[in-house]
Amino acid sequence: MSNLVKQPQKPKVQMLLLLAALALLGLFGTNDWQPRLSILATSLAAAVLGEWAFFGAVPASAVQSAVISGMIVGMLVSPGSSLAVAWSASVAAIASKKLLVFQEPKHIFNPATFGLMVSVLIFGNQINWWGNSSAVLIVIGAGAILFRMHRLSLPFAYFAARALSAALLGGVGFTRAAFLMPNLFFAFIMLVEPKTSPTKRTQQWVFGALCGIAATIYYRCFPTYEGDLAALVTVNLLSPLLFLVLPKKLSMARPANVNGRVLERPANP
Amino acid sequence: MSTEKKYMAFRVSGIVGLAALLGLVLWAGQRRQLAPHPLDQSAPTELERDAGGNALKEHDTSPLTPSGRFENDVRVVDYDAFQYGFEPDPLVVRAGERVRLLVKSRDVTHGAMIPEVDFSIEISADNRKAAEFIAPAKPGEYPVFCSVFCGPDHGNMKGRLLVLPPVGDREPQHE
Repeated sequence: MSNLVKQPQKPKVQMLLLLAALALLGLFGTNDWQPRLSILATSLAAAVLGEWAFFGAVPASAVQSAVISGMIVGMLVSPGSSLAVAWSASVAAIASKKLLVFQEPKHIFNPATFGLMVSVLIFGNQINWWGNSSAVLIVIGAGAILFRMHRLSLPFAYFAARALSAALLGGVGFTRAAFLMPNLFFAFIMLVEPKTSPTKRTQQWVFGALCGIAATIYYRCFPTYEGDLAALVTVNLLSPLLFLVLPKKLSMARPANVNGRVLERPANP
Repeated sequence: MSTEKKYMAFRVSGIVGLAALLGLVLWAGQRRQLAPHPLDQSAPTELERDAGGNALKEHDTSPLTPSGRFENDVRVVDYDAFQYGFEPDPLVVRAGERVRLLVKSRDVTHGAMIPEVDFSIEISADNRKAAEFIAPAKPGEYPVFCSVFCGPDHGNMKGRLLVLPPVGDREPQHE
């Protein structure tokens, strides 16, 4: 009983509930709910089965992570797409957690983003962000979760950099750039994944800003691809390099690893 | 059950489950491909020249008639979007006339975009929306695109807007 009370207080469970609410809104707000549901069910099943296939018996929190990755994938893939797109994106997402690792148990790439980029490279861009169904719910719901997790700097940094760079490089008005360009779902749900984004506030500002600028550049140079996702993959990959180049205070340092056990990340001041 | 056995049991069930799911996904994809096309896209056209003076596609020789109906100086056309095309195709109108499209999507969310007349509309499945544009003054053929990603063949979802020369006399009110 106490477990049932405690579960919803965990950020991961709250994020799951938020994603479920967004999915329901996305499903019931349209008449093509059947293809959407098929995509979502396929990506969810593939993610959970992939988690078992790659990691064996895992604790409930790991299954919850897989469900989050699967839901994100399912809520981005276009309803008209082949179900194979959702399957491969989910499997690639979970595989990246196992195979592309710098330092156990920290994977390099945001799993859902990596999986979706793999699917874009194989099948072409079949992403339409149908899960981005309620801006209000994302800002309030995810904002509250991120506030508790001390991670609000990430979406804000991304927003500022994305809007500024779109206005400067894209030649659009700043107001339009600020209100139309940044992707709320990406900023509040994907960018903030705890294992692949920094914990310290200064690092978060650098990380988020780099994502925003890279996204604008990608959208300008390769408009048919998903600039936001490509930007996050790039910045994930560059994080260790930034650790070497940037001053220690700003570096993307990963938490200390003592006797093979990763210490808990300190909360931001 | 020992921890190692449990670990292996989960791994095996995960791998078998993923394979089964992939089989199901591929089977569903094959069924979708074999399903009959939602409609016959053939439509009467004749040899015409496009805005650039190039010959249009040769089809049958039946005379072209404008699509839809003419009501109160507006050409009203029921225009359907589906994976991966538009109906009627071509959409036939007279040069310079006001056109009201009642756009419907038969399956997933689509967009209809006619760059020549700066027309763009997004339409969700099974809904019908009305939007108007003024047909180009120059007779010819103009492309219609889907502006919302709607599936793997989205890039090939194209229609045609065929603009006929204006008639000297006003058309009858109900064709």
